[in-house]
Amino acid sequence: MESRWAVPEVKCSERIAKIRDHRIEDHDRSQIPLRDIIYREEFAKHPEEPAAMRFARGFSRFLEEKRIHLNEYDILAGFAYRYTYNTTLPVDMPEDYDPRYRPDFGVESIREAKECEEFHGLKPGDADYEKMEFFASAVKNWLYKHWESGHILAGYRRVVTNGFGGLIAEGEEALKTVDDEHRPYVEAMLMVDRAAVKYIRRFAAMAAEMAQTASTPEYKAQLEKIAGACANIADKPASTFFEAVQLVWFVHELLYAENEPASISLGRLDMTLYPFYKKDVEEGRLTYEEASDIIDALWIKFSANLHAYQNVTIGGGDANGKFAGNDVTKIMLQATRRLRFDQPLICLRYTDDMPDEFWAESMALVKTGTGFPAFFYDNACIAAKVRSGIAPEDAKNYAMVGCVEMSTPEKEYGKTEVLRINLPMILQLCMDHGTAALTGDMFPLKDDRDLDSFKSFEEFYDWFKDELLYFGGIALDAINLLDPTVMHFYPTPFLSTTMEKCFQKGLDVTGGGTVYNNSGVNLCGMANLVDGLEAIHKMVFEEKKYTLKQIAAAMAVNYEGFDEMRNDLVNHCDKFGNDKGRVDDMLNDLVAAFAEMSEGYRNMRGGKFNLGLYSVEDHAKMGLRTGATPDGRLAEVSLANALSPEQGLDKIGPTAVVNSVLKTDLKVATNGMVLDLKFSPSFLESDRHMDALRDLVNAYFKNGGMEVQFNVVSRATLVAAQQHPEQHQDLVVRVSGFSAYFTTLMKTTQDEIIARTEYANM
Amino acid sequence: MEQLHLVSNIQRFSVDDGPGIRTTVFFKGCNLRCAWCHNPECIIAEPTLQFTERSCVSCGRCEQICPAGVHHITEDGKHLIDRSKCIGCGKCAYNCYQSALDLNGKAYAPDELFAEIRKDRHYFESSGGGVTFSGGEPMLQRDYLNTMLKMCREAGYTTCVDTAGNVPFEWYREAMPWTTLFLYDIKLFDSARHEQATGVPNGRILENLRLLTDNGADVFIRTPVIPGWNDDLEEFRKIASFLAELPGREHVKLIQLLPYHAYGVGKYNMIGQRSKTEDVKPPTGEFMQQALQFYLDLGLPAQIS
Repeated sequence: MESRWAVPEVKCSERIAKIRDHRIEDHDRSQIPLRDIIYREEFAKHPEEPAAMRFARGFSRFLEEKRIHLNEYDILAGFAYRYTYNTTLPVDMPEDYDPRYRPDFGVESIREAKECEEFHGLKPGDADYEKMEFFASAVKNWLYKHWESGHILAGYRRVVTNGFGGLIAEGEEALKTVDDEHRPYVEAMLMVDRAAVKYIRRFAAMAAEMAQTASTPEYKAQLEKIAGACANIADKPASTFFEAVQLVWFVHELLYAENEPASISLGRLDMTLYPFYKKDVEEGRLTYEEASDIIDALWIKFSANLHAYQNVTIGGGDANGKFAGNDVTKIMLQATRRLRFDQPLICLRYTDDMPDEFWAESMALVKTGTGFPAFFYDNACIAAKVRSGIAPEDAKNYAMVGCVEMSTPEKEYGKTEVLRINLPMILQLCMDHGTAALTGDMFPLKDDRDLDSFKSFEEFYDWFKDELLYFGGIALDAINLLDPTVMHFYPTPFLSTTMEKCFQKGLDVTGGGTVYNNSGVNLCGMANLVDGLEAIHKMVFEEKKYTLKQIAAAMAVNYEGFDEMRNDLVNHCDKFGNDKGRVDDMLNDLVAAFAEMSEGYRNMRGGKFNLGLYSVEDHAKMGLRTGATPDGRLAEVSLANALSPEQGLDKIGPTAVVNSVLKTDLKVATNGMVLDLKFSPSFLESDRHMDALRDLVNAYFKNGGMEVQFNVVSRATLVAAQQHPEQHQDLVVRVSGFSAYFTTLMKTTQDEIIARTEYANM
Repeated sequence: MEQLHLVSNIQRFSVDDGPGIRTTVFFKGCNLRCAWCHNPECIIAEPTLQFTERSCVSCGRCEQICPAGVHHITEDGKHLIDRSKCIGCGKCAYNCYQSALDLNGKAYAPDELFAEIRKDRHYFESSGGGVTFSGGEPMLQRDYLNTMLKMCREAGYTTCVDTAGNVPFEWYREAMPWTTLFLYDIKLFDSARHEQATGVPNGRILENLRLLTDNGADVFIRTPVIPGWNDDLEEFRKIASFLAELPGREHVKLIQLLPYHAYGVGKYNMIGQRSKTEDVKPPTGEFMQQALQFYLDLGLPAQIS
């Protein structure tokens, strides 16, 4: 019987298969150190200039001197690496990193704190100085994680529709009225725009030259097409689908050359490209199949950077809320299904009126196990954007940046990953007078109390909540001290030029140049926190089986010799994710309290702090650095992923997990949230189950849900891949708000994914 | 004194026990003894100790804590269980740090059970689902069942009763007004073989189905296909023609042929029994198709599930 959810088989064309199979040969690592060398030379040559000009000079000279490369069989020109880590932001980088992979680096927090203290003229003994020192030490301990952006949703559409020539004209206009203070920012932006024009012309020349000696007529034709397109889009807007895709790629490549590339996201790429597609098809210049090849070629370019959070948003409503998905949307879903890379990340904006064919295509992709697409509910996401101060017409155009953070294409510089807070570690600190279990470092509590002094759980809980907000407040203060230093030390003129208003304001985007200038603050280990509090509530205050001090003592020795206590804490207390009342409600209360505090803050660029309930891979990384916690979790074990239950402790199935999650009012999650559901692959084989899944998603969204994603790789496959990575190099799995090649993940993260509860044969 | 009604399990997001997303409540206690039963813990009406041997580390805590002397760890670390002594107190299960022991069976007052069912009302709404009462044989607890059915229907949920059909028809007549759909098992047509396989003849079962459809009750017919027990085509041909000739044939909304699966085998070990179908392999796809064809030839809404 034919399935109602059947979709066409997809296969790469011969040309694409060739590009795909040879893609590794494009890697030329020699150009990586060149970027930082040139930047440093330019910095040294012009020490008197503002940073924006020095960065613009480095950028321009790098584009002139870097080697470029084109294969005669290519469909698109260009290639991007992670060129930089050392000049853009203070980052601790291992010397020997492979640029394709994401190295295990962290912010060099001590250097950053020093720069911040220098910028503000802070001295030991100043309250702000002490705050920065506290913050730097907390970042080292993974009590906080701090990441100065690199989470970018650039104005691709703005460049495609205006051309670099249009941007230059805008800059020249701005130059006429700009004052001296702002002039360097405008000049820097103009300089990088002109560099971009020249850079694209280098490809026009190269392709034209190669066309003359091409080995087949097909190759020659395509090289001529590339040459013509590059000559046109070097300074003019794109005029065809092909040119639009090529220009999107160049913008992306140049962003890679400028930024610390934590996540450079592409916005609503199907909407950016569709007008070109439609016109070309109508005028007989393009077929669905040709467009598919071009998108495949683009996807192969994205694939050069593994684990890179290059996020593409597709689908979603138009200005009237009507589903606006189109052929390009479908091509992108199919390209992802065909190629099965970990890049780009695919986020689908879901609306109530999304036609079945898009659901079928989406689920066909989900079934590959890659975790794409993640589903975002328009109604919830648009409301979140409005709550964070975005005008309704802009909010409707939201797209994802990084993992699941909603941003406004070309109008918002969101700094979505600027802060993450390790909640279970705060509880651990509270149980031991502010001493971090694994390092012994001290983080003095606001009100250090004797654990024997609490007469009721309510008293303990109120105290903890106060400490939580205190630790959150310190972190936000520190972030605000750091905020203005970024434009001073690490401006990004190229990114700025793609964003609206930077020319007019004469400001770099890092200094509040664009329209919306928010920041993110994200919570991590939420299930561990409330499970721990619930365990204390039950075992200390209700059953009175243990005292707080006894639990603290057991935590201090990682529960060694405390098996009975650990059995009580782990196996006989309610856990988040099982649709029980109290423990779920506690998370809602704590998240609401935190949101009330963080929404009261403003960042130094006039923006808000958006609250995120997702964890990227930090639940594993923070877990590694966190001592034992009152939920019975042992030291160095991963925290719970995002808003998910503790791994393996949800025993009632997906509806119970969804209900638990929905007890938290997600309207406050203005920086996004993640709900990860893991199903066994066999579950999705029948139409009945596929229907049930959609009904589950609909009920979730109708009752307050914002995001959901599916993991459908069997446990057996994951275990096999861990044991024999060489046989599973191409296994892509959903980690948190993103997907990645399983074998490239650190072991703690792999273990965490394996331990998640799998639904179907419960 | 009213008998204690034990629930073995409340399975939410149950998508194979009737239409939509359902919550399936498994009652304990059954009056059939089907050789292939995949919920053997539901045959037993009393609380049932379940033991997962591979999780046991032979720590001996259960032996120390059990007031009835059920557990014994031998010198060489083997965990012996004398279930005849078990009083169902659950102390061993609570204190098993490995969760190797579990006491299956929990009593719910009707409003308690309803509170659990109600939790998934949003999914019932979005999917046209509801609640399914299964087991065991839910009809054996008919007063309780009727109370539950009524509560659920009044709340607007669809209700299914998953039954083997071996109770007086009067009991169905009581349940019918509150039951959206019966999931009705026909396991074999030949009564002698039925008795051999399930412990009871099937005269009453077939008659009850005839009366149900004749009285306008909607049914899904479910037939497990168990190699060695009911896998000759003649049986299916007879079942199909029986169904085709039912007086209220249009009330047979769906016929599901369920190929045998071995998920239940491990559960026998957990309750100290042995499965009679340990070595049975699932039927071939070819056989399933041939069996299905009898139904399709008669225009019946049948499928392999």
